[in-house]
Amino acid sequence: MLTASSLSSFLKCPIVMVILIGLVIRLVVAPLITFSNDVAFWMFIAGTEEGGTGLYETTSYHYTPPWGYVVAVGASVCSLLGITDLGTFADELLPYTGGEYVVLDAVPSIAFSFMLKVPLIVVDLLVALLIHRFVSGRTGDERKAVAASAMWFLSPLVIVESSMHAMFDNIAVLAIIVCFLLLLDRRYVLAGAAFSLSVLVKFFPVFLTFLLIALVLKREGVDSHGAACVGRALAGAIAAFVLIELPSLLAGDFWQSLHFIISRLGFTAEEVGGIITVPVVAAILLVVIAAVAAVWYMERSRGTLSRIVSEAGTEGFHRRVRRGLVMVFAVAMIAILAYSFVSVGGNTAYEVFSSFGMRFVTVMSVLSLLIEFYLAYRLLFLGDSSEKRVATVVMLSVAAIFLWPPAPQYVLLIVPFVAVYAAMHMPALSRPLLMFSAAFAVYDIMMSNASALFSLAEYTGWISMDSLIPVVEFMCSYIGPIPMVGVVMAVFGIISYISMLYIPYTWYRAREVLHEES
Amino acid sequence: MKADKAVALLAVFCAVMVAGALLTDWAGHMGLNADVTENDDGTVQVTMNGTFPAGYGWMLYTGSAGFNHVCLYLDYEYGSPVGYSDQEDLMDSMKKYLDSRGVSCSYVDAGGLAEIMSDTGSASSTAVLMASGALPDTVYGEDMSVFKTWLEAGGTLYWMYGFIGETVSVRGGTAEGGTPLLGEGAQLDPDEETFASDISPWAEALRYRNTDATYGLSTDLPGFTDLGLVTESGHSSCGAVPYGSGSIVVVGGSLDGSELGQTAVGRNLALADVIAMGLASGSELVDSGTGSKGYGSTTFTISRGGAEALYLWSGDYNSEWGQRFTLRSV
Repeated sequence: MLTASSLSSFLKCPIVMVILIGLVIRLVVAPLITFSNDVAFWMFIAGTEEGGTGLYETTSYHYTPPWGYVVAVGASVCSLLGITDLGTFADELLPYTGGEYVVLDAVPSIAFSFMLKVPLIVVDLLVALLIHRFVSGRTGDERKAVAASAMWFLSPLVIVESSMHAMFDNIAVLAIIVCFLLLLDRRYVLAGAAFSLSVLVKFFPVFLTFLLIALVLKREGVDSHGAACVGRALAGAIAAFVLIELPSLLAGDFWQSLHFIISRLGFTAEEVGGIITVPVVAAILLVVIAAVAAVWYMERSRGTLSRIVSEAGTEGFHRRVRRGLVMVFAVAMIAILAYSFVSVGGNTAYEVFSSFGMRFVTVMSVLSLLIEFYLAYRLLFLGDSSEKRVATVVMLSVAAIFLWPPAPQYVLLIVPFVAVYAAMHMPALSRPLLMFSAAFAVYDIMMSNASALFSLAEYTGWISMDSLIPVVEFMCSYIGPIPMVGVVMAVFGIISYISMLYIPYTWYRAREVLHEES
Repeated sequence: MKADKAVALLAVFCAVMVAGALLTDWAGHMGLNADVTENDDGTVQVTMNGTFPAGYGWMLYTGSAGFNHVCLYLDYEYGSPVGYSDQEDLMDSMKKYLDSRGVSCSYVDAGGLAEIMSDTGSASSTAVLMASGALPDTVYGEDMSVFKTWLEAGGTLYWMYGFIGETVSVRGGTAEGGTPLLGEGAQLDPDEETFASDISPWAEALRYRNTDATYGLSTDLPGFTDLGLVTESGHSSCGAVPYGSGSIVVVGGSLDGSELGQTAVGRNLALADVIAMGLASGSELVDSGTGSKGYGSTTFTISRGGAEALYLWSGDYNSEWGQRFTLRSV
């Protein structure tokens, strides 16, 4: 039975305090501030069940299906609750809709935005609780568990993304944490499914593929049993991928549904759809089957794979791996440069290099993947198997995903892993994590700028749209040929990027100090 | 820590995915349609039928061009200053958008265009959409009469990109030095780029968001009808002028959009509404309105005024569905 004293002691419990403070901040902020330009898109796709159009026929949805499905469910809940006003149009904004600074004249209603933020706030809460349970279970130290949860739940970036921006990256974070937990529990099929979900929500966890395979093999052994466990995870991942994409496959929208992923590589859905046809897929499958058969034959006849595995931990092999990765990076650079040359017809050096520059994200993604591979290799074959070492590799792998300057919401993925590592193994990382969170939160607010108050202006008398127009005009202005929005993005983007690099830098410095002390 | 809670979370996740997929990919295709009844008291009763909630709008207007078929011009063998893939993307999108608005449309090449434009008896029942930036010599070569006669006989041309008639395309290339159909200064020069500021009532009702008036018509032209936004230089991002008994509607800007293509998509959807409504020179907006319906059907009554046609559309930001109803003569 609940008594006053038990309620009082419950409320005094540190994790409850953290959650209450975090929830109060979110519930105050969520109705007042909405990043209109993105939430307006959620408003558009809320109409997918209207007018006989599917998710990718609405012309307003560019992500993989899961978030579209969440919005569709959210919109239906809105309808059931009698919230029919999803948003309105501000004609005052119409003249600014064609500039470099993205302004939409559509302004979502406060009620609709709030209803969409609620599930994201719940996801924030679930991640906080999972972090708390995990750290508490591993360390038995409540203080550390609360600290780790607080670094996530009270992070300015996490609050901004769920409660202002209504960005769904935290769902990918939740799914990848679930994946790690299932992996630790040896439920590989489900872990694979959670991994697919995470990747299909927001792509970037795909960079952790090598790490996850290494974790399975580290636990199960680099042998046929380990390979079978990886196979089970792979089967779970493929099954979840096919199930989630099934409606898009049936509707003929498969490549369009992967637009966000494909565009990261500098291609369009049409280009990839034109290249990857059924014969090409069949040829790739044949090559993969032939490669697996060749490896199996070489292992059976000469024990090649076993020999490689037994040598993988030697200094000579390590050196060859490093050299090989450098070679792969060089070849990738040449291939991307060659593609840039071909794609512009090789008219001028300037055109070739600007086309190459357009693929900067691809270049840095290749580098990220190689670093991920190297970290997974080190985890599997070099050094000890202590929990701290595994945690270090996990933390560094997540931090290495975003070598290119990312959008603020993307880096949400970094927060829980660094928070857990800081709480469990390296408190010195707490301050860089806070600085990183604050810098990216400010960056996101600056990019959204006046649009964060459009809903408030349209739906309350607290602020007028006319008073926001000068700020919109400022963001739409130019300094010479340079758009102001580009200047704002550069200034706050660079500060944020530096704050992100400060995390591995602090880890490296703290590690050196630890080495010196020991 | 045991992963039972993680499994439960995964199950919840899957349930949301299945519900969302059912809503968007199954329920979404259940469709929306409308019934219109004209009352003797000068009102029109509209019933929007559809299972799920929807935003909708209506426009009452006069001056609809009477065409019942739209030709989408695309010819890979005739030269063009516009990339063929850009033209193809646009025409494919327009085909889809026009289909969803119940408009009969088909692709036509330079030869087919000559056949259609030679049939002046059917000029008023056909509209042509061109985004090639060039007129083929099959209709606008040394003898420009095919094109001009078709327009004069009541044809409707929807034109995007370039000065009409300045570039003439031939098989395998283009020929500069053509004769601009509308004369010097009738369309906005690309070097004179300015932002649109004034919004026409049509643009508001259509939610026409294209602010780019490059190649857009001058508002000074006789009989000009503004369907878009007007720049300080006095050019419209979408406007129409009469040509004989026919009409020319010019859409400003280029074919490529921003990365997400929202500006281009919004413009193209609004253009699909313009075509589906048969808007041309002389079209006048009588009244318009918006609303949102909940589950099931909804019925509302509007006063028709002097309107000759009613256009209903559905969607939130962009119109995703539309249907034109011709009202009986009063």
